[in-house]
This record gives sequence, C-alpha cells and structure tokens, in this order.
Amino acid sequence: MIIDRLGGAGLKIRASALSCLLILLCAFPSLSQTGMVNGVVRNAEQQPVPGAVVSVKSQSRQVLTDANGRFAIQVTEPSELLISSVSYQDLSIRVTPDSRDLDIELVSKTAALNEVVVVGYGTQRRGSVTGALASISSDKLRDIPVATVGQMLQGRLAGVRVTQTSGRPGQGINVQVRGSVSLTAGSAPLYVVDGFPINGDLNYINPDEIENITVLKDPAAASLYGSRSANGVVLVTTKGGKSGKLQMEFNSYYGLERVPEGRRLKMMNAQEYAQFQKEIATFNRRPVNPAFQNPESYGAGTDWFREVTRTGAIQSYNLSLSSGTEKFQSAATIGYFNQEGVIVGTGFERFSLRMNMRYQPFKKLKIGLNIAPTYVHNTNFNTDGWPYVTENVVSSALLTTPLASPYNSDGTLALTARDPATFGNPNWLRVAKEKVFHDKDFRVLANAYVDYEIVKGLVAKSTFNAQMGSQNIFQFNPSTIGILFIPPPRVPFGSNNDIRSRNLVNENTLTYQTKLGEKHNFDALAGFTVQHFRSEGTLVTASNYPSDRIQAVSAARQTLVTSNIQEWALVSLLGRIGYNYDNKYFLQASLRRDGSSRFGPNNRSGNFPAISAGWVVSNEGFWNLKAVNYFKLRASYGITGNFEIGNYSHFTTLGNVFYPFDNAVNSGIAPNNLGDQNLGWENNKQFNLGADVNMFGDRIRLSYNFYTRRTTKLLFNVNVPLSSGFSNIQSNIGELKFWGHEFNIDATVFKKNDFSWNSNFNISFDRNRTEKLATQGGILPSGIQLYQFRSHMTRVGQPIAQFFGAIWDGVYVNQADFDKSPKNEASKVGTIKFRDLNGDGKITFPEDMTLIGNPWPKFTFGMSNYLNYRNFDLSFIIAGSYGNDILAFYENWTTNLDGVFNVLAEVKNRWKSEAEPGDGKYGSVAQGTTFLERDRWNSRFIKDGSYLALKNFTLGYQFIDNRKFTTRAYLSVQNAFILTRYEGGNPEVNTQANGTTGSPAVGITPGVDENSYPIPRTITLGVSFRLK
Amino acid sequence: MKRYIFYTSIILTAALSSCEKLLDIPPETSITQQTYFKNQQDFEQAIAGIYAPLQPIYNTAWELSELRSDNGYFIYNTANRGGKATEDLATFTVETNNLSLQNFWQNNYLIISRANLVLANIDGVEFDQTAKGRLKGQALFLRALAYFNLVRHFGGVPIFTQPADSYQGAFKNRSTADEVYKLIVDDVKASIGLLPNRSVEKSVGRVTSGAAQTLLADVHMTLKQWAEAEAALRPVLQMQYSLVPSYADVFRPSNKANAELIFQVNYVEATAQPQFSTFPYSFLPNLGNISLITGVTPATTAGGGFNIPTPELLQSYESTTLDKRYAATIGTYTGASPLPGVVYSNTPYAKKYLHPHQVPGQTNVNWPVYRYGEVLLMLAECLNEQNKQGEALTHLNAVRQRAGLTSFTGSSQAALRTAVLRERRVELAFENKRWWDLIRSGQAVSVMTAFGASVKANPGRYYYAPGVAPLPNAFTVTNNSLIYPIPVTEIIINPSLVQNPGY
Repeated sequence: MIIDRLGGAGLKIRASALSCLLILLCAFPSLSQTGMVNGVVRNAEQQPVPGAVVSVKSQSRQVLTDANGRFAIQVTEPSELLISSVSYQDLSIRVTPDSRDLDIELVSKTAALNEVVVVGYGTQRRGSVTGALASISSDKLRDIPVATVGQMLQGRLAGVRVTQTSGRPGQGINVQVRGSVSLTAGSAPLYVVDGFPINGDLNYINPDEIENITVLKDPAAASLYGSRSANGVVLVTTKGGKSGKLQMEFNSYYGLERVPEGRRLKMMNAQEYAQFQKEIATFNRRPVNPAFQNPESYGAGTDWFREVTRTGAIQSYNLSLSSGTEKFQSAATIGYFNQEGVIVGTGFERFSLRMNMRYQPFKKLKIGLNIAPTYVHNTNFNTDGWPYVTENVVSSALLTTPLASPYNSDGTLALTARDPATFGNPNWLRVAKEKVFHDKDFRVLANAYVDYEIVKGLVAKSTFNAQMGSQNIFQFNPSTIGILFIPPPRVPFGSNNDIRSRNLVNENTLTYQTKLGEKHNFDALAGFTVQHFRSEGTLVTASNYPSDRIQAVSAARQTLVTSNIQEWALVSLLGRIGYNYDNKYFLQASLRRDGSSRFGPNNRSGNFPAISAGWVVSNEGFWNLKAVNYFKLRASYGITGNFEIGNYSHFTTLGNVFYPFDNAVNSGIAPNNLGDQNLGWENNKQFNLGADVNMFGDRIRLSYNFYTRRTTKLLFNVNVPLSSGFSNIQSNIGELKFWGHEFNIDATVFKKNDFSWNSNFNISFDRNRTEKLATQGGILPSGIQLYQFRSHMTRVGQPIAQFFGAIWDGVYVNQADFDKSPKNEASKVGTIKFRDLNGDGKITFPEDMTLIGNPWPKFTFGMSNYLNYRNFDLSFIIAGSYGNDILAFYENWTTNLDGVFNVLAEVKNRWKSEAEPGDGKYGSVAQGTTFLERDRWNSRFIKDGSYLALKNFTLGYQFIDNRKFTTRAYLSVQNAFILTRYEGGNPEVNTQANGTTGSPAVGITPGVDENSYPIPRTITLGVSFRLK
Repeated sequence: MKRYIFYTSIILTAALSSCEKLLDIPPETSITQQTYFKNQQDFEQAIAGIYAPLQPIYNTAWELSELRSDNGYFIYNTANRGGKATEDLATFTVETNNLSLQNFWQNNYLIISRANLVLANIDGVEFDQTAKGRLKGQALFLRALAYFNLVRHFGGVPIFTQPADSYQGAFKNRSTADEVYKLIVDDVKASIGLLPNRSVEKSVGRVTSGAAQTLLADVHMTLKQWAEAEAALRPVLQMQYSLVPSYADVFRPSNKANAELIFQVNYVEATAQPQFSTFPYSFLPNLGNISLITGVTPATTAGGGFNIPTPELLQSYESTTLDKRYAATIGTYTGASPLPGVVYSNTPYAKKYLHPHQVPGQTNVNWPVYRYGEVLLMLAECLNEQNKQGEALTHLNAVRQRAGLTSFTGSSQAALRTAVLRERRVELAFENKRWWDLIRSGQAVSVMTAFGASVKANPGRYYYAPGVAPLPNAFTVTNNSLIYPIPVTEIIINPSLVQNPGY
C-alpha cells in the first residue's frame, strides 16, 4: 500500500528533487577576498602534529605548525593548501580565504600497517595479521544506489564473489567466500554485526550505518567462529560516535531505473508469431486457423514483457548525527529507502534507525549500547523461475501470445490473454497489478556490552545481544488473476504467515596483553559464549473465498493452519594466544569448542583449532631491497565447521498425516525422515599460505593467498531408493577438495598536486574436486528434475555439480544424415540430433547422458578506481567472471516448438525442410518429436556465462567546503553496462540460489537460468551536506 | 584466592550442566520415533498413517490401468503438452521417466514402510490382544495390497518387511514376482484371522475380513488359481454384503456405507486438511467454464480430458436404454471447446463419480476398490474356469438383473467366459479392472493392437482434432507391455536394479 501511494506521488518527488539540485547549482559561491586560514593538524590518533609544513600552492608562503599542531596562514584566493611532515603522507586540501578552524588529519606513512582491522573477537593491527582477510571501509561504499550492503561489495574484495542473481528489489544477492560450495543448505557466510552473529543476511541493515566490513577467509581468521566458519565470516562494524563537536550529515539520492534494451529476450512479434503458427499447422498437415491465415495483417502486437515492466524510481534519505565528550559518545543514523521495482507491482522500502552509544564513566570501564530497529516492506510477489505453479510473471509474460491485448476495447483490463492456438492465460498486466503481496518485517538488532580493565593489560568483556524479528507475509489472489494454463476466473485464495524470531547471544571474554622485555609481545583471549535461536511461524492458508471483497483470511470458507517452530542452541568455549617477537615473527593459535543442539548427544561437540605464523622478512637486517619496503609471509592451518544441516535432522521423527474415517478427518502419524544414528560433524581442514608486499613506500600494496581445503565426512541429504519408503537421508557421504589463488593489488597510481588516482584490482581462481563419494554407484545427482532426470551430477574426480545431459549435435539435416545417424524412437528427419555415447546405435536416456558443462568460473575479478581532480571525483567499479557455464533452462519454454507459447524470434531459423535446414539450433515442428529438444537435458541449454560489467560509475563535485559546511553532488550509474556473450538477461543469474520460486530442485543447483527479475540500469543524482 | 577458585568452579559447573540441557532441543511440530510407540492409541494413529497414501494412489491409479485399456482414452490437447506422459500410458509409448509410475511406486512403498514400522514395534508394547490383532490385520492387509499393486504393475520388486534404518539399509535388489506373490498371500492369509467382519467393523473404509478374502481371491485369480480363489470368495457371500438395488447409488457420496462396498478409499470435501478426491474432474472434458457440466459455481477452467469413454466401450453396452448402467456411467457434452481444433459434439465422458459437491475441483466421492458386484463376477469366472457353469450363471445373472438386463443363458465355458468378461467391462467400467481382465484372459496384446490400429485409422473418432494423430510408433503392444518399466530415478540412485525387458 505504502509503495503504491509513493508510486502515485512519484512525479512530484521527482520534480522536487530536480529543483533542489538546480538551487544547489545556482548557489555555487564566488569568493575573492583575502583571509587568514587557520586550523590544527593531527594524526589518526587525534594527537597534534607539530612542525608540519603548511604551504599555499602557487604562492611562496609557508608556515610550520606549533607544538599543539596549530597554524595560521594568509590565503588570497581559493587555492590548494599543502601539508607535509616527515613521517606522514603529504596532503593537499582546497581552501578559500574564509576557511577557518580546519581540522586536518594526516595519515601515517606506515598507516597501512598500523591500520586497525576488525577480526573475530577483537581487533588487530594489519601488520600483525597472520590470517587471510579482506576489508573495505565505508568511504569506498558511498554513492552506490542499491538497496543492500551485499550489492555494494561486488568486485571489491579478493576471494569474495558477490553475484546479483535476481533484480528483485532488496533481494537476490548471493555472497560466496572462496568459491565455497555447500552441497546442503547454501553457501552463505556467517554475518557478524558489531560482534553479534546474526540470523540471516545484511538486507536489513541500512548501508549508511556501516563503518567497515571485514571478510575472514582462512582458518586463522575464521576458526574462532567454529562450526559456522566454513563458508567464511563477514564482520560488519557500524558507525560509532566520536568525541568532539556535533557533526551532522545528510545524504540523499533520487534516481530512475529501467531494464536495458540489450538485456531483454527477443520474442516473436505478432506477425512472426502468426507466421509461426501457420507454419506449424501446415507442416503437420492440420488446417490453418483463419486467425493465422494472413500473418501480414498483424503488426508488432503486444510485447508482454514491456507491458509488465516500467521505469521505476529509487530514492534514499539518510540523516546522521554524531557527538561526544570524553565520557560519552553517541551516533545516530536515520534512514528511509524506497525502490519501485521495474516489474509492475513490486517494490521495496526500508525505514531504519540506529543509535550507538558509548559511556566511559572512568578510565577502566566502558559501557556500550547499540540499538537498531528496522522496518522492511516489500511487495515482491513471485516473479522468478519457471512459468508453472505460481505467478512467476517474467517467464509467463514472455510466453504469452502477442495477438492478445492487455486491454479490452473500452480500455479496461482484459481478464485473459488468448488466441486460437493457445490455451487461455491470464492477463499478466492484471496479475502484476492485482496480485496482493506484502512482506512486512520488523527487526531490532541490539547489543550491549561492559568492558572492564581489571589490571593493566587484562580486560574482561561481556556482551548481550538480541535480534528480535516479527515478520508477516500476506498474499491474496483475487478471482481476476491466474497462472499459466489456469486462467481466471478462479476461486480466490490467500495466505497469512506470521513469523516471530528471537536470537540471543551472550559472550564473555577475557583478553590479556603484555610485553616481556622490549621485544616479546604476548596476547591471549579466553571466552565462553551461549547462543539461542527460536522462531515460531504460523501459516494460515486460506482458500475458497466467497468473493474478492474481503481479503483477510477470516473471510475464507476454508483455512488450514501450519505451525513451524525452529530452535537451536550453541554453547562454546574459545581461546586464542598470540606471540610476536619484535614485530618480525608472529605466532597465533586458537581453539573453539562448539556444543550444538543440531547434533545427537553422542556427537554433540566439535573442536575447531587453528594455528598460524607470520614472518616480516623486510624487518630482517639483511633486507636491502629498497623498492620493497614491506614483505611478509603468512601461513595458517586449521579446521572450520559447517552446521547448516537444519534443525532436528539427527532425530527420526514422526509427523501428522491425515486420512478420513466416517466422513471426518482422522489424524494419523507417519515417519517424516530417515534419521542417521551416526550423523557426525563435517570436517574442513584448511591450509592458507600468503604474502603481503608493499612497494615504493606503500604506493603499491600487493597481497597473495593460496588456500586448500579438504572437506571430509561431507554432510549431504542424499537420495535413497523410494522403495525404502523414504526419499533421502542426511548423512556423511564424501570428501571434497577446494583450492585456489587470490591476488589483490591496491595502488596509488598517480598522486600529484590536485590530481590523484587510486586503484584496486583483485582476481581469484577457485577450484573444487570431488575426492570420494560413499553413495551407491559413486555418483550424486542433484538439481532440477526434468522428467525425472537431474540437471547436475557430482562424480569422483570431477568438480562438484557439473551439468549433466545429452550432447547436442545439431539436427538431422536430411534423410541421408538421418539414415546414418543413431536416433531416438521419436526422432525424424529435421529433429534434434544427440550423440550416441554408449555406441548402441540408439539414443536413450540416461544412457546417452554425460557431463556437459561446468558452472564454476575459472576466475572472477574486480577492479575499482577512484580519481580526484580538484573538486571533482570520479569512481568506477568493474566486476567480472570468466569460464563458467550457465544452464539456460528458460529455453525449455521460450523455444517450445509445439506452438503453445510465444517463442524467441530466433526460432524462425529452425529446420523447415531439407532445402531449408535453418541454422541447426532448432529442429522441426513435427508433432510428437519436439519434447526431445526441450524436455531432455542437453548441451544446447549450456551457454558461456563469462562477463565483464561496469557495475558502477560515479561522478561527483564538491561545491562548498569550508570550516562549517561541505556540500557534494554526484551522478551515479549502477549496472552501467555489461560485456557478455550470454543471451539471457543476466549472466550472474541463478534462479535456484534462493530456491523458492524456481522449479523443484534437490541439493546443489548452481548456474541455472529459468528467467529472473531483470537487473535494471539505475541512474541517480545524489547530494550530501555535512555540518561540522 | 582458594575461595575464588571454589566459587568460579561452582559457577562454571552449574553453567555447563545447564548448557547441556540447553542443547537438548527436540522438535515441537513432530515427535521422535524413539519416544513414540507407547500404547494402543499410538498404534491406532500409525495405522491411519498407513491408509493415507491410498488417497494419492487411487486418485491417479486409473492412469495406469483404465486409461491403458480399451475403455478409456483422452482428448489430445495441442495447446498444453503437459499431459504427454499420461497419454503415453494410453498409447503404449511409455518412457522409463514417467512420473505417474514413479508416484504410484513411491506411494505404494510408503504404505509398505509405514506398515513395516507398525509391525516391527507392535509386539513390543502390551495392550489388548483383540485390538492389537485388528491393528496388525490392517497393517498386513495394506502391505499386501501395496505389494499386489506393485507386482502387477512392475513384476518382481524389492521386498522390504522391516523398516529401513540407514543409508545402506535403504538399498534392496529386486525379488522375483513369485517371491512377491508368496509374501502377499502369506500377509493376506495372516490378516484374515485378525480382522473383524463387516458386522463388527462399522467404520466405512476400514479393512475388514471381507476385504481381505476378496483381495486374496483377486491374487489367486491373477495367478489363475481358480479353486483357491473360489475358496477365498465363498465366505464373502456369508458376510451380509448385497447388491444395491440401483447401480448409480453404489457410488453416491451420500451412500458410502452401502452394503455393496467391500473396500473403498475414503475422501471427504471441505475439510481444513485437504482430503478431497479429484479424479472425477480428470475425467471431464476441458472447459473454460466447467460449471456447465458440474453445476458447481463459481465458473472455473477445469477438466482433464482423460479416461474419455472409447467407442468400443460404448458399443459393449448391450443397450444404452435398458442397461441402467449406461446412463449412470456415461455423460455427453456438446458445445465449444477451449482446445484448438476440438469441437465437442456429443462427446462422452465418465460421469459415474460426478456428484454434487461444494467447491470446484474438490469432490467427496470415494474410490471403490472391491465391491460385491465384482465378487459375484469373480466367483462366476472362477466357477466357469472349473467347469461349474450352473452356479456361475446364477452369480452373473444377479448382476445383469440389477442392471436391468435379461438373464444370460449360454452354457458353454467359452461363451460364459466371454459373457463374464463383457459383463465385467461394463459393470466395472472406470473402476480400473479392464486392463487386468485383458491380461488375465490373455487378450491384452491382441485387443490393444487392434484398438491401436483403429485409433490410427480414424483419429477423429478418438477425439483428435483435425490433422492430429497418434505417432507411428504408438500402440506397439507386446508381452513386454504387460508390465511397466521400473521408475528410472530408482535405477539412477541404485544402478544395480535391473530394468524390465523392452524399456
């Protein structure tokens, strides 16, 4: 409802945003009087820097800062102020003669090493890190006009592959650390916000609240998270207050988004479609329906994809306040985000507030409280996936006849869309407009902590964290809408799903740091944590409504209530000790012991140790390579765990089934699952070898990691014969190997006077291989079931979950070809030709199926560039992937040769006769043969998914920057362009990533395209004001 | 200091032991098997669980038998080829991946595994012996019925008599058909002594000793053990079953407790947990507004276009007017069709199961598995095969008389055999008997080959739109066609399962 209302007011908001910008442009100040510019120079620790040289460029004046870091210098016109000091990097800032009280922060020349990074259960100086991690700070994440944090990370971090699998507003982001592949519940990393392992992902967090993000990749970094660390850990730190003056910042952008023309599938228009129908009838010697007799009489007809898509508005408003004294600091961010989806009826909005407070009543005691309520509302009804079962409007609209119009002759919305050849379908525009879908989710994330220094170096810390959620999903299908093959009118139905969840964590740690003599540094951590999660869901499925007038489930004549209760607990002990000698040699060991309710009493506890070492070679006396100012080697080994096996799976449970006796429903009971008595922890032994190289005084910073990970006792919900009365069992069944290389380069490409160019490039090579499988026959089919054949296959010695099917060999071009080639019972001259793999002269399935493609990329890469020239700034971010295949399953329905759907325009080039054999992709339309090319997995569905995308391009201009006030405006383009040979909408697609709307699939199903919500190109204008 | 250590250790011990409790989290929407079986009530519920898969089985079992026979065909829908796999069953072009076969296989094995769970646990719990016997009898009967379904459709199948309890334990190779039949006969015989008869068991749809006797007879007849079959049927005559005066009343949802039904699968409508039947809608022609036939509003698009009566079936009624079964079984529709090229003109459909109901698509009619009318015809067949034509005629004519027909008077074994077969065809039309009758009488290959030739020669007569016809390879009927392929998914998961010949 709210989104609808805003949609209506969209024009007004758009106009006012534009006028705001115009006013800003006019208000550009012109100043030319002389003034005494003054200020203070400090370092990152807020200590004054005395003796720094402050000079005005293009003038000969220069002064030195005093003991308090203060300076004053005469400036006659807007110009560049240069500040330099021996142990700090040079800095230049724009000033005007009336600039006063500048607060200038210099960055230490070795800042890169002294920079503090957030690690598990604490922080470390980057120089002493012995594990593999990647981090990014908020200043690199600004300006990106997207709904969620995950999306901002695309292309930014080595070893972290972020893909936008669907354009659904606020959804569809998939994060994979180090090519992590879980055969079970998904490969998402663990998200930890301000030390709190949260339930779910980051979609509920306003990106403006984030200070920095660190991704822990190897055991040295991640093992402290024990049984949840195998897929990597993403640590998010939110913005806290700083002592000093009140600061206020307001950021806002407004933009428009639309599906790029080049990323739409080219379907037949009305004339082509009528011709297609006419040819099908003629070919099969059926009478041609009069409606198709004269295709020339039709024009373009209805483009259903265009009908259900639109130009959407995206807007964001954020206000941040921060203030503090020595004893009390606080920061608050309040935000509103609204995205109208490019598919009619969809949208996402978020209201968010975060307040972070820290109180330090005396030096040894710190008390903190963070609280962040968020309300998220989306109207994203089912859009993605195959066209059957639910609305799935993208696939369905593409298939609908261009001869039908969404409107009646009187301008009202038509009920159905049909023509003489196709079965009736609903009017998809009406479906998009009238389907009722509201997903409303209110969440509160709260952390409180007490931090007390018992004696010098020994700190006790207790945290109490709570994540409370209350979600409601309401759906209603009025009688006027339907789904493919089930046109309206239908009996209305709906559902109401209430889910309450509670995630509580208490963590208690003791840390100790000491120094023995000058060179021996020790630190230690010991902790005890308890986590408890519970969610209670009540789903009311309502059917048989008497009319569309009252939509509440209470109006339905039939309701069915389903309860879903999920609960788990984790009790853990953890410890870490570190030692370094003279900042040259580093050693660290850690251990976590997790007790989990998800495993049976005999296997309840798991141990996750790690050990790591680092050697700063460049600190050795013999190091005399001047160009390389820092060189460090790192190695780590440890065990990470995966507890994503679902709750209760070690139990063999009985659930209710129903059977009527005496005309009343009778509750029966039957087994739900086959429990494995010996179910045990999956074991991931991981080894990491890395090097960090800084060159030319940190101008080039290079980082390399090699990792290998062996998963034994792989947990998998493996299929068993149906004759056992079950279909699968959660079991430990195999052994996998993962390995890879990651490179990351940060460089200051150019820095002189008022021009600077910083760049990051990262590339990751991830590989995996199946080492052992304890299944019958040594194979593990998974994925989508298409006429009982599975789309993916895992075999020993091969990468996990390869595509599986027949090998497509064109079509039988003529009788001679047909006579000499092996064929299927249904084959004819002109139909699709497959390769006879077992050499029996016949084409049969699954005998003639094999591995036909690899969903895993050979490498993925990203590049970001930040350029500054005077008041201008420019950034662009590139992300890409090479060598992965996509299973374009959507061709199953968009190229159906039976004439039951509209089809891709290229189907025109099919085999029509021996004289007109077409381009060999599509066979003939002969009745009873066409299922072979669409309903059997084959390599014609396999396409190259490599791409290079300009994810974001931002051009900014700073209008005013004085001691009180900073104003900047920018133009940002998200999903600017993409280079790819992939013909489907989105090469990052995987319609099975989130699993609910695609076709039924079991187990791991990477790289599948069943048509998904299009990825829009977004163009926004943004402004920010800062008061300091 | 010592004191601190003491307090700390007490707190830690308390914390850790309470944590151990924190980690004991059993599911709340289900119950664990280890803690379940405690008393009679628990087994009563587990028995109801065994019945549950009967609903999906008999909602679609017609696809594998009646539709495959010369009684039912389908209306080819060029605009939605989603029905191809079902049509393949009728045109003898079945592939190993046919989903109907997989569902049938899976649901019958669900019955078997649930029965095994009860039988493995019931002797470990003490309660009333008679009650226990009745529960065991039901479990044994249902397990036998499921194996009988499986062996008739697939030949020898894997035999499970104990619940599977591990990954390896879920894998079994095929037994021979003889071994499966031996298990069925043993189970049914054991159940007969444990089950109550109709006068004791008043609950409609519960297994009785009458049902078990009939199943046993059916098994023996399938094996052509006529004397054993006759012996099994004799007691049924003494169990107060009778022919309902009006044929149409046998199937009425308002008349589910009638004296003719021996074993039926229960469905009810308008309950919160969906328990309705859908097969009556599968048998209706496709219509944009199905309420034109059903009379049940609101108007919705529905109709499966399957099990459409064949011209051969219509001709096998001796009279469309005298034989009351014709009007009770066959409906016709004339009007526009949403299917491209198809026009309904006196198009027949099976209306035997179509009765008033509340919600479109959801009917409350039960599926008759065994009824007294069939028992009489079974007995007539067994007697005739043993050259006892006299008594056989009595039973045959009882059925004919109820239908409104005159008595059959032929007396040769061959003539009576033909007469019984024809009577079964119309009396039991759309009750999934015809296909097994053709197999038992050795006519399946010849009759279906002839039927196929007739369809190919005149597709329009079999409801095809102009220009559409079965494929050339359709109706290649051989002895291999008498059983179906093992579902291919079972062979993919267990490569050591051997496929049936010809698939």
